[in-house]
Amino acid sequence: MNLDDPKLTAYALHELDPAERAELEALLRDDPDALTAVEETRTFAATLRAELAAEPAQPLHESQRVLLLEKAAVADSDRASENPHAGNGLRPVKVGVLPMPSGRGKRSWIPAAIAASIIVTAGIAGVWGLFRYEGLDAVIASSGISDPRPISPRLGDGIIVSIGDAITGKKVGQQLYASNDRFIVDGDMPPVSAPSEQLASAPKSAQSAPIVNAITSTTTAGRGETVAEQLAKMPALARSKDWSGQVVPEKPAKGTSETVDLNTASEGTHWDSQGGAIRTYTKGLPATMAGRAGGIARAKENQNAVPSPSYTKKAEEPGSPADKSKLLADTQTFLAAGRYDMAAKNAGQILSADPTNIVARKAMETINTARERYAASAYNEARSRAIWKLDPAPSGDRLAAGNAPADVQLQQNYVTLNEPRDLSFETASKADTASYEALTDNAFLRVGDAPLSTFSIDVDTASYANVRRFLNDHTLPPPAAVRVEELVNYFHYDYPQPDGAAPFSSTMEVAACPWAPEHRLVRIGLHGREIQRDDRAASNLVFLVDVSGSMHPAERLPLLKRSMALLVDQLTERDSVAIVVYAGSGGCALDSTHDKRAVRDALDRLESGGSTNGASGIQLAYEIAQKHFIKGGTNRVILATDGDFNVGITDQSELVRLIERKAKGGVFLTCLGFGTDNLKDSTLEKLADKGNGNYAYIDSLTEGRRVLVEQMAGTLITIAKDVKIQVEFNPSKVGAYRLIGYENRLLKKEDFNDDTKDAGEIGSGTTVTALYEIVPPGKEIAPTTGVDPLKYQSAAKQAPEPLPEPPANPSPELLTLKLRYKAPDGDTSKLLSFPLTDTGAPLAKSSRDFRFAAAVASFGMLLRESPHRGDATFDSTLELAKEGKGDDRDGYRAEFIGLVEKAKALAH
Amino acid sequence: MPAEAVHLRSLLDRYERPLVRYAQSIVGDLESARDVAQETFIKFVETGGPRSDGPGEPDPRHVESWLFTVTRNRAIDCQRKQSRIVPMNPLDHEHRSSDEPGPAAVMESRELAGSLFHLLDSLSDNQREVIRLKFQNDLSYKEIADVTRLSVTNVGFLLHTGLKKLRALLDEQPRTAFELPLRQTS
Repeated sequence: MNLDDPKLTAYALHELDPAERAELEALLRDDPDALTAVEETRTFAATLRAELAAEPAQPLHESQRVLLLEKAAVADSDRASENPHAGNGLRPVKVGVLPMPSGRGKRSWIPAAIAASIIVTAGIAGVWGLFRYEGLDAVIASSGISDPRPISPRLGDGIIVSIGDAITGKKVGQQLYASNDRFIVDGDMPPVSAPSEQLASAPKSAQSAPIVNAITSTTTAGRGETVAEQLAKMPALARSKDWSGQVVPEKPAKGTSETVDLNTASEGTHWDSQGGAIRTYTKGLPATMAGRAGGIARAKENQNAVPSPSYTKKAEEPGSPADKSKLLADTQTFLAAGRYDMAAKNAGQILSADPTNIVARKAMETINTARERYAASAYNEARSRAIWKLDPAPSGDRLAAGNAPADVQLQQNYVTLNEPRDLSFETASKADTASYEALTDNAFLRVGDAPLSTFSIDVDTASYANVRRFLNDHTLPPPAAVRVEELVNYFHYDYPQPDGAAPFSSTMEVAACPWAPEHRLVRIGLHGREIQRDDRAASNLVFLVDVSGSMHPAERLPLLKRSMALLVDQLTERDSVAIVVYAGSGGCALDSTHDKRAVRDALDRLESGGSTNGASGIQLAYEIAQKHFIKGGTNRVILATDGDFNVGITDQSELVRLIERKAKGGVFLTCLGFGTDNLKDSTLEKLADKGNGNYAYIDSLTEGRRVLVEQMAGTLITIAKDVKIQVEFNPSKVGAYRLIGYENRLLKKEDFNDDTKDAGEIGSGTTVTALYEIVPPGKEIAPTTGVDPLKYQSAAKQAPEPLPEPPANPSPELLTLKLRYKAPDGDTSKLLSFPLTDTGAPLAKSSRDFRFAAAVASFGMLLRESPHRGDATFDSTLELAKEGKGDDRDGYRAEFIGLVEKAKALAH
Repeated sequence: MPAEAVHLRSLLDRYERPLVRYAQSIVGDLESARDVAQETFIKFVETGGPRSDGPGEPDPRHVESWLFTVTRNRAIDCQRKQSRIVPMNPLDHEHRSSDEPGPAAVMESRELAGSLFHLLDSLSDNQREVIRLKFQNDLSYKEIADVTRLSVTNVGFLLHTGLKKLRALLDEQPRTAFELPLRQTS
């Protein structure tokens, strides 16, 4: 059919109605070109979705949001009182021209001023989120804890928290503290002076924790206090100057019923998770210097050094064009000098006269961005310092005892703040904590001693992605991070589709071993039956996403979100997705839904550093998966993390047991690893293994695509579980053998027939490859271990012994491959058995795939510095890989060759 | 919380950012885009949003098209007004006219600035808009047609040609410019 028919695109995008769809599908059946075009369109659409989704989307200004909510509240109350004048009284506020809050008290009391109460309460907490760290420093100073590091950024000095017009002058309603997910409003205020002195003297009794009292939202809400009154009660602001020049009463409230521990008022800890919802303003600091130790001090000097434009304060009435252009020019000068406050002031003046002035608006935007950036980094630094010093975290007992928080949310904030795991992230300079399990290479085993070799298949590929990341960072990977079988299995080999009933085909090939020409190399390949995307059973997926602070960097949560979005694009209406997040505590971000768009939106909204309520993440994830269990379908929890298993169950063996139990119940687990410095590689692999799942490491969007799009079926659809391989070697043909890789997948020979023993899963379309290096009978095995000669054994026994002469066994077979597997929902295994005879083929006669697999294995051995690497060098590996590259449709083999070249350069 | 406020809050949470982004793709600057989005929500509160087709609440999808439609109309109004304002200041050299890249400016600091978003700007306004509505906001052909007042067939055609052109442009780019290759080459 005509490839330029828009219908093809509509079909690819699932936009045709059923009749048209059927018609087109009939046409497509005989038209591979058109089918390809459809596939390409889909791929491209997925790309486009991912890229477009990554485009920044700004929220409204808080002031705008507040007004909207007020308006809605007014509409509600009007409706309730049959008042016909719905929606009056409030006009949209232009940005940047929020008046100073001097009009306090003049505005009318708004019935059901929900919005106001939300913002006020959040605002106060937000102020505290920023100021209290100054207090913490003071507390720590007064309690005699010494800290060798200088604390230069004095937050209270530089930051102004501003509260815009929308919330001032209103009485505070009493609704809805719990729903405050937004913070302070735009608009400028004069600086609040540093509260450190007060704080230093106030909480003398505080040894273990900062007991600085703050007014909580809940206690004040409903009393009709104004914002100013509330702020006045906060000790940090007590002696500071009022915004409008009035002196705020210097009387901190102390009554226990009105106060809670400072920590509990820590809305500020949600800063990161709220996408810059708090706007904190700083005094003329260049953003680039923000957050650096000493940055503020230096910035202050700079500020003093910058000559002020002569014309600043006099421009109260920027009416005339001349004034305006002067103001604009000044604004630009200030901006260039990094004096944002002055620039903001000027821009504000211009905007108050000419709200549409684009230059001024732009200036405001620049200023806001710079301020946000500064505040974020300053906040983070202050927070991490404070938390660091408070370690061990204050116990939560006090909460329960005296100052009972009136709000559950508060308690959770408390937990979040004191959450020890965040320490590792916040105190950023910590050493690399990635952990890899060191595995010793399998040794040669004599057939006489061990005629059977038994292991579980492993379809994981994470190690390859991890190795690639290292090499692309111009570092050789630590040997323990290299798992040869995962390298080999990263690549797809051309094994035939299974025929008959078996869910996978098996292929064997034997030829000379490239790195030890006298040895033979046996390749065993399994290929899971390919299930067409459209034929696959419905999926019930639960994403369990780590949103802890450490997930913040671009290659973690943002990459995760984009990768997951790619997966979501592959799903259809039959599939359902739920999202559970965990940071300290876990929560359900999205209940199971078939609405892909809702999933995409929920993914979009995930932010690192957030904390949510609810039970532990992993249990919740399994609960949801169980609740929506699809019989005969794919039921899977997909855990995405940088490796910290703070998923609610701290005891790891308990976690493993849970995962094992759930896997038996039919809910499998896939682990996706992200990030680098604290990747718990071995743990993730183990969990996936126990959960009948797979483990992939995602280091780039390309890899995300590979795992979640190209190999989605393999990742999600298990076609056989507990697949075990047992090879029996014929002693007349094999003297000794060595399984390459799979070191942590070895099974006892009895386990093979034991159906209670767990083993690896094979997914739709995945290939699994295992290599054996075989020493023919009569050849010597090089000693591989460095043990001292044994003292009590006879000398003859210690010499590298020639292998026993072949017994007179007439079988020409080299080995017999035995496979056991279970149906994905089955309990009893089936047995397959295939013999292999060595035709004595030289390497040159082997298939391309064979040579390529051998190249990957030798690369792995080189990186592992394996004692068995024989003659292998990076050069020989390269040569072998190039021979075996084949047509390399997807380009992965070419990439491999590139990596070998990198490793070669690094190794020298 | 009273009904209207609850509803509005959920709508805000859901659509605030998409609408600002969409408006910005039309008007260019962020502040105007925010104003447009705010006005859209105000209109929602004042009018109660789209009429329900039958009894009960209107379909959420219907509400979505409504929000995008209103945003689009306001954004186009706003953009017309803005283009009538003559830049009055010599410093105002950064003022963008309507046919210059809007969102690309936002992306300037990003790696992709040179690639996809830049290329998007070489599509026609219509193509760009339907692509955004389809792939960024996930509207159906029908919904896009409602929002843009084009016919469904026309939307289909624009998407088809837009995608084709974009792909062709992407293929011309040096490969390294992309994080996400369309087809890996060896």
